[in-house]
Amino acid sequence: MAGLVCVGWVSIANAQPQAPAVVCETYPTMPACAGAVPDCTLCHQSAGVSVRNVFGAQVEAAAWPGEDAPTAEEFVAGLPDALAEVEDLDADDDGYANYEELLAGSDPADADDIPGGATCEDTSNSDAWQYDVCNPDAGFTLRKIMLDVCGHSPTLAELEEVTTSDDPSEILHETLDTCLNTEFWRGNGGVLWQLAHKKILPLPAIKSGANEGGVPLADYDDDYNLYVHASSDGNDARDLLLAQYVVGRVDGDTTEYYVMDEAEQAARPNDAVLNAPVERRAGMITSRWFFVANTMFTAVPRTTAAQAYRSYLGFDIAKLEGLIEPPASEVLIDYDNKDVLEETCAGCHRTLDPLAYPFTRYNGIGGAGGSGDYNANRLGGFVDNTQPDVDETPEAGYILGEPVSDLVEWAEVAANSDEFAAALVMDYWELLVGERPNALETEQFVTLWQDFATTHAYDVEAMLHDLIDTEAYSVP
Amino acid sequence: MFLDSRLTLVALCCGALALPACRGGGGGGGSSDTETAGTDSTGGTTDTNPTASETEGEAESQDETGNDDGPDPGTQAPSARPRVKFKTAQRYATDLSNALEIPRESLCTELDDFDCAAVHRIALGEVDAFGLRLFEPLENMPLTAPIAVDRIGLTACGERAQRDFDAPGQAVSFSEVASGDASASNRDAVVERLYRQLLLREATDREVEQVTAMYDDLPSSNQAQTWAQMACFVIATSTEALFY
Repeated sequence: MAGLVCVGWVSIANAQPQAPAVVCETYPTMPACAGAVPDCTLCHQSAGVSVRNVFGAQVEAAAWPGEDAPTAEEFVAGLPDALAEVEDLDADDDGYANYEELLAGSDPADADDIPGGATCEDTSNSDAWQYDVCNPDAGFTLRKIMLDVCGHSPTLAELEEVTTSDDPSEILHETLDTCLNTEFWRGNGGVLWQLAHKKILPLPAIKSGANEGGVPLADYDDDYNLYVHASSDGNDARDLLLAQYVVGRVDGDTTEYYVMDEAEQAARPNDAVLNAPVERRAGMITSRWFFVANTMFTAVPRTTAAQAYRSYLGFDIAKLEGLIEPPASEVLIDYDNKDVLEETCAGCHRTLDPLAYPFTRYNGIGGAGGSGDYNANRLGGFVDNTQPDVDETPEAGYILGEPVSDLVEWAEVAANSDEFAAALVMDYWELLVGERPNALETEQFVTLWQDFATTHAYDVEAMLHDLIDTEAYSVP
Repeated sequence: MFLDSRLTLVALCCGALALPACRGGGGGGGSSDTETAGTDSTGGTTDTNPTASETEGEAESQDETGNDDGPDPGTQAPSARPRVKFKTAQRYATDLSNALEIPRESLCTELDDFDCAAVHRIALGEVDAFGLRLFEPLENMPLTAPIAVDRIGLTACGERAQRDFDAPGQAVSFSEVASGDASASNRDAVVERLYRQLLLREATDREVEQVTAMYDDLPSSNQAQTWAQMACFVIATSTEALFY
């Protein structure tokens, strides 16, 4: 995805991190905009380098020929018109207009990358058996379902059954249901756990509870358990960000997950119990582990907010993704003296800091009430001569441009956003299809995450039943 | 275990050299034919992305020395969305265990104690979140991946051959040759069974012919059992067996 710095319009380091988002607002059906934003290299020779490629140079020449560098506001306001002005040009001289390439997902600055329509060879008259590469193939799909979700190939008999069946679809969906209940998919260490690794970032040395490490601080088993629970059995996946309960697990031949009674939760050892009060909980992003591992001893835990944003909304701020700022009337203030008002920093911090404010009232490691507890006066303990005003940091903040009063509200906005649905479905798309949607699959992908948020009522397994029916998954 | 140069070549073409093709799951034209193209061996080169002409029914492929280098890849129209995924360690080991009817825990062990698939899981596309804090598979498969595949495939096939030759009456894969008659027709029957067990399809005549013919290149000592193991190994480490 996007590189480290989108340096925007001028040759000096004048970052324009809004550029990818403006491109997506201008061309919302661009494949690169499907749950993400384009890479900076759409207009620049490489991310972090101010030199524009041939397409970027065309846009610049069309919009601000010979003029001084535009301000950030002028840039954002002028970019859509600049893009429109060069739509019909062919920057890389490959025979395809810039807009054709943008909408097809090829690079308008690379003559070797051209729009490619999917073509398939009709093999219906072939003498030799071969896969039909133009239509869904039941045998091909059964193999994929069983290997992806069950962890092994089908038997020859199972293959023969599905390929000779009058209704192979029924067999495929029954197989998927069976596989979704296997240990390979949902058991301890299964596929769902592996999907969760990057979000949880486990560190055994500080694990508490079962198999505790040398310095037990928090138990990430809670996080894995909630992740699987919210992703299975028809449960609402928004509970990843909304759950105010703890999920327990019973290991065995068949792993069982259950919603833990609060009394059971509270009776756990001190180094494992979830300290945040029920009404202050917001699923995975208020777990004890999440705060211990990300906030640690930080007053304004930007890393914590960025990890939540990255994990559940698909935006990596370190890659300049998801820079959706509060209204201009909201002035960025450097409460903790981290020089965030520097021009080269503010481009990201105008989004990141308000995103992080709602996390400031939760302890990291230690603190009054224990690790991960909610403490309205937490920042008072951080005041010293290096950050005398840090306790003035508000709890209210912004996410996706919307104001929120606290982290529970932050999570509600996030969980009900298109970005959450798209990011979650993208996880499974990449897992099962093998890579992000290409230009020809963007429509399928968008339909899938939109249905996930509506028809499927955030039921991951229902969404997966549709995913295996997509052309991207079922056609060899 | 003895391997003559021809078997080594076939194994490399079928298994080792194909591994880099799994990266990214697609993007290059025509690579998906490895999914269906039989024991794909496209000559003595490192080309893992055969052109359409290479996959569409060439009667026989030869390396630059003119030597035959393995079964014909068969016929398969190129996919418009070529994507293949590596099975990864556990999937591969489970498939071998099921196909060869060897208990998973007996399939392959390192130092007689450690499951090969677990030991080589990083090389074979898996993660180690709790030990190494490796949360995603390596972006590029390491050079040791083909070695690990060969290790698991060779050991599993050797275990199956040993069991079948020790008790021919209860043989699972090699009954015809394990009973003492390694004639061409019996070898044909074994190869056909191996294709069904390992690749879940019928072998083509060309594939049967090629794998059966390996017998003549093997040393006479324990020739039938060695051939059985090698025939299994060639098929079990083919691109078709490793990717989906």
